Amino acid sequence: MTSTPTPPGRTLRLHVEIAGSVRQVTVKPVSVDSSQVRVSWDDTSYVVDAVPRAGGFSLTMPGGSWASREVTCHTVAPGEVMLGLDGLHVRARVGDGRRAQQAGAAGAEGEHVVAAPMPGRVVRVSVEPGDAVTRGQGLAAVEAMKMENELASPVDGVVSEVRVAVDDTVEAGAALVVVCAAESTQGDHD
Amino acid sequence: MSSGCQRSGPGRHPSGGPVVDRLILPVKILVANRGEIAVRILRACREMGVPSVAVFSACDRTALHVGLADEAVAIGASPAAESYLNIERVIAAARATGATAVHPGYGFLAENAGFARACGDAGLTFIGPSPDVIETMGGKTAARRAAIEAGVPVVPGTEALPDTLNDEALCDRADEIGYPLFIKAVAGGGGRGMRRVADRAGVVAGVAAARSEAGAAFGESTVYFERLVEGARHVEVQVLGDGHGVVVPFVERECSIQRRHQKVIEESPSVAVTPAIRAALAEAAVALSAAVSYASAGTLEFLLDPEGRFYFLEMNTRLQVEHPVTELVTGIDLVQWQIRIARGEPLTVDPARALTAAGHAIECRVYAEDPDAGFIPAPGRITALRGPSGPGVRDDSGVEAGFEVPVFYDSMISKVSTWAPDRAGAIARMRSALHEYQIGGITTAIPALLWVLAQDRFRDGAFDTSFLDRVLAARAGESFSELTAEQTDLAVVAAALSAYLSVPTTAAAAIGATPWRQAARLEGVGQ
Repeated sequence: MTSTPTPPGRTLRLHVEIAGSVRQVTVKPVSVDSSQVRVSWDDTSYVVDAVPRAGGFSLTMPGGSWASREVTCHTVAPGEVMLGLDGLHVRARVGDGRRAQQAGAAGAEGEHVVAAPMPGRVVRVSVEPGDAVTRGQGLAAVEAMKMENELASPVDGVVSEVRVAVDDTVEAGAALVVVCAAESTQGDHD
Repeated sequence: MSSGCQRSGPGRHPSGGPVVDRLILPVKILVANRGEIAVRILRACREMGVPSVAVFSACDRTALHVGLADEAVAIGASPAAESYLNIERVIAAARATGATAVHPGYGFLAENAGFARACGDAGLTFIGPSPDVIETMGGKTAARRAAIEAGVPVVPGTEALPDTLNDEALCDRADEIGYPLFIKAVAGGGGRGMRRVADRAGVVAGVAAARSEAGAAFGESTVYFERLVEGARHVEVQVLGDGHGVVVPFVERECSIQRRHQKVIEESPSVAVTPAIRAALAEAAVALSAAVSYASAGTLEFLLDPEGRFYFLEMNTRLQVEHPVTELVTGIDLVQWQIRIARGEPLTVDPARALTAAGHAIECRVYAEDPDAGFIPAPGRITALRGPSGPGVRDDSGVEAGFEVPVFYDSMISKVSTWAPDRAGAIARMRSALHEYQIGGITTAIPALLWVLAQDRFRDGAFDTSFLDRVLAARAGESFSELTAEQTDLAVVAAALSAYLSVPTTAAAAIGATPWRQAARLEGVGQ
């Protein structure tokens, strides 16, 4: 296997979050001149041979389960990847822990950023700064691929910022509207 | 189902059929479309030795279809209105390249009578029926009227409802039809401008909503009422007509697996159609299309109720997305026949062969969308792509690795069709093919398709047009990518390795990445 790349010869400790559960994962090379690495967390441990391919990698587990898979992988947000595996999509957060905490802290001040779920064109902006909105109320709509997607307020509150106008082209994740949650953090004060 | 390895020159019969001593007009075809259907038509041109011209918008400069044509012409900016829907620019491209015929595919200008007329005025052969037939059969209420005149059963419904009717009168008309009913747009399609109404109380609001949606989508807000047939399946009959009254009907397609009135999975034959129903469907389809001297390929859509009664819904005066399943079970190439009819060849399709399904075929539409986020569109750059292959597997794809799936057009990037001697075999083959399909960089509907294929009701063929929306609503919020314990472990390993190996996950890095280049990069990092 002369084409097999040598992975970085270092040990990496990562937080991997899939479907809400976080694992502290350690990745380390089995030996200096092998493409095999040991991936372990809790009481689970696999020896894996991984070969990068365009847009992903091929992995086999030479021992234990002998699983063989081709995995596609792309970044959907900082610290977040989408894996393609067995015809399924798996969203995973991967980081060193610090980043995950930062992400968790975002919006803690009662500010809720409503972002575009996909790239597209803004076809409607229904609110202005200062408008009172209720949870589920439409704020703006983004169109992509002939489909219109209405974006609703996640909370009762007041619009503090409108960052886009009709006909703007936006990327996935672009902030469209910022809503400041009403005093009551429960949101069901009526 | 392979087309054999013989290559035919222009004017010959690729099927090896009888040589006909009639003047066959030389054609050069401009394909006024993009994506997988443009690729499909351009392949037919190549097989037949017919010169071809592609057109493309700004974002489609590197699209697959552009490279498959003999010539290609830029026709404008990315928004469809400035390119693929711009009649003047498409005609100008045909003139500039000396094309003699235009194939519109489906969507865009395919059912635009004005475009068909403009082609004729420019001396171009429009590959499809005449503008008058497009007008008659394209308007839903006009098509209903034509069906009634041809003695074909239709769903009880009204004519187009004038905007001047007051609320009281609207409700009275709805009462006459009976509930539940559908409010439908006269210019409708793809479920737009359509509302289900359960009782009199819902009529006025439903009409307002349908009119506003239809106005926005089609620029024409007129609606009509149609009785909702409970438990109905959607079956349709493909026809080929020579424009002189000869019409050949094909074995039916079953298209009941729909999400919000958009077809998702189609198959042929239908498990619900008996030989007697098939013969009656074919007879109705011929009566209606022969009455308008239909030319080229068209499809008549019917509702089939649980008692086996069928009702004409509408006619699509063009090639359908799901035409491959018909090609797979009959071995008849519909696109080649469209071209042959357009260049003046007589229609010599064997009617018995057209009406007989040899085996079973299924098609799954692969949309670029995120099924776990309410099926929102998921445009973006494809970083890795390997289509399915093998016996009985056909992948009609319009994309390749490195291509950026644009936000401007329909989200369907490919159609996977499988054929097997029986339905269970075709389903098994489809599951295998979808498992094999690797598309990196964007999410697709594949996990949801695999989930549907695994449902007992689907496998038993026990479904109607409301089946998919119902089962999707019942599992709302659940992921289609449910992992086994082993898959979860694999996903954790893969996620960790994605960070460890620094897999080129950004679009730019992925292009042209090879294991070798990657290896070199990683070795550099390791030092």
